Amino acid sequence: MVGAEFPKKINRAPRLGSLLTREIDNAAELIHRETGKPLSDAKLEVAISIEHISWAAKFAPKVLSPQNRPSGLLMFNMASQVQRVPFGVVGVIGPWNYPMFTPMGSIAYALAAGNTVVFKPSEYTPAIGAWLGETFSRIAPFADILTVVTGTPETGIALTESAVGKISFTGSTRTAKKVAATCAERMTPVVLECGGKDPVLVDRDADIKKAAEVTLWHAMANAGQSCIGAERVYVHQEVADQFTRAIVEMASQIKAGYEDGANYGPATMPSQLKVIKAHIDDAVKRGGVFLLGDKNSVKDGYVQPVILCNVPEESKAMTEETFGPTLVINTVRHMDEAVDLANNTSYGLGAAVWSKKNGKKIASLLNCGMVSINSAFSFAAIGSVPFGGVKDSGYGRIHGAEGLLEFTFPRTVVKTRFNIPLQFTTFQRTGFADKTIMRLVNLLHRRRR
Amino acid sequence: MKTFESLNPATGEVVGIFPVTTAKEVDDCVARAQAASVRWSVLSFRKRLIVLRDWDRF
Repeated sequence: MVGAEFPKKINRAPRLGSLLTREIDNAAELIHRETGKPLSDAKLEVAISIEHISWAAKFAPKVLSPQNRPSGLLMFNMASQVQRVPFGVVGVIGPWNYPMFTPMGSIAYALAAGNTVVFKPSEYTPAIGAWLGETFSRIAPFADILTVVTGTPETGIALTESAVGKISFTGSTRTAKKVAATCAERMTPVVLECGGKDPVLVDRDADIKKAAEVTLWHAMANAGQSCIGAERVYVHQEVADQFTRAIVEMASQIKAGYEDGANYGPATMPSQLKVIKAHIDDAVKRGGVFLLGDKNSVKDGYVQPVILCNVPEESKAMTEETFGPTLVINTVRHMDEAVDLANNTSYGLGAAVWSKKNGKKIASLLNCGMVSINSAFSFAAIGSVPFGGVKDSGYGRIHGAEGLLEFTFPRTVVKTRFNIPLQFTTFQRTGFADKTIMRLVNLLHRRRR
Repeated sequence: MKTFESLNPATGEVVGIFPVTTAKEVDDCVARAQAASVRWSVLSFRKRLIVLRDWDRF
């Protein structure tokens, strides 16, 4: 049989109501089996996905309805309007780490904006992709609104070379650059959501226990396979010992596994294990010190928690995305140094700041797309705020009003409300009209003393 | 039809077998989606909201 065996409890004839909500358990089970992540994490993923569908559908009219704009005094007889037009078909290429939540940030917003969607799920998570297509088809008013195409990377390339109106890609920076290059051939616009090397900045006035507890989760949840996962900590020297002791103590209580009670699962993409190991080895070779774990922490498909300190900034573990449950903690003399180091990266996706007083000030200095203060990940679950990065982390935005706008283009329409004696857009223009326009411009734009 | 397996990374269990969609098939899907987009885009926000609500919940 081709396809996954979907859970049996499926209601074959749903009517109005909440298909995905009723099927949270089924979807979560499938995500759990296909990615290896704990069932509770999978449920959370489904819940947040549902939140985004809801937000996109509800706010689409507000964000995308035609807007009247002022025409200005020179063009006062015109009625100016900006309409938002869907692209037609949006091609979505999804990742495997959050196989439902991440693509949904494009699928739901593109659909709500009036596009149809062709979705290529990752070759590591085709079952959840196919399941989304199958559930949608059960409530769809007609066919081909959401189409799922499973396959290999070649299938994804075919989608980027097809006649789609826009591509939304989530994945590695390396692949994203290829996607953008391919799309450039047809001038197909793209949204690129790539990796990150997200820093955590811990100030001396932070709630250290909370910062340690949340940062541990920020770094290790989903086996560290989060584009917005914490990879680097810069902690103020006055609280470094306290923070490090707290996080190492908590981290020693968590473990990777597939059984009930495991805190996170295996590496979903086995080839990533080599990268994680190489980063750890490189960090240690350059003088980094294990606070938790050792060279054998990467074993049999799993990575047990690894925490390192004193890792030189130029090592791979500090410059390249590790995408594993590893965390580097480096000490800084003051927060200016933390900001400089945090920004000294080719990436610019997310960041977290822990400080009671200076959170917003520090956040304003960070060169990245999203910052959470005294929390982690939270922006991803808020429908109203855009998600995306700068530099090697990509461009364009999903989620929020910006995410809806991303899947439309603006069409300017101006209409003559009434004719006036002064016509500028004609070869019949008179000298009087020319003089009048110069007088008006002078009057409106003259520098006033 | 060429297919591939999706494996559970923890157990090695086969979660499902899926078709490898060819470039030609992708183009066909996009063409059909293009045709559907004409109908979908002219629906009111309200009507699209009802569909997404059916899928989701409110």
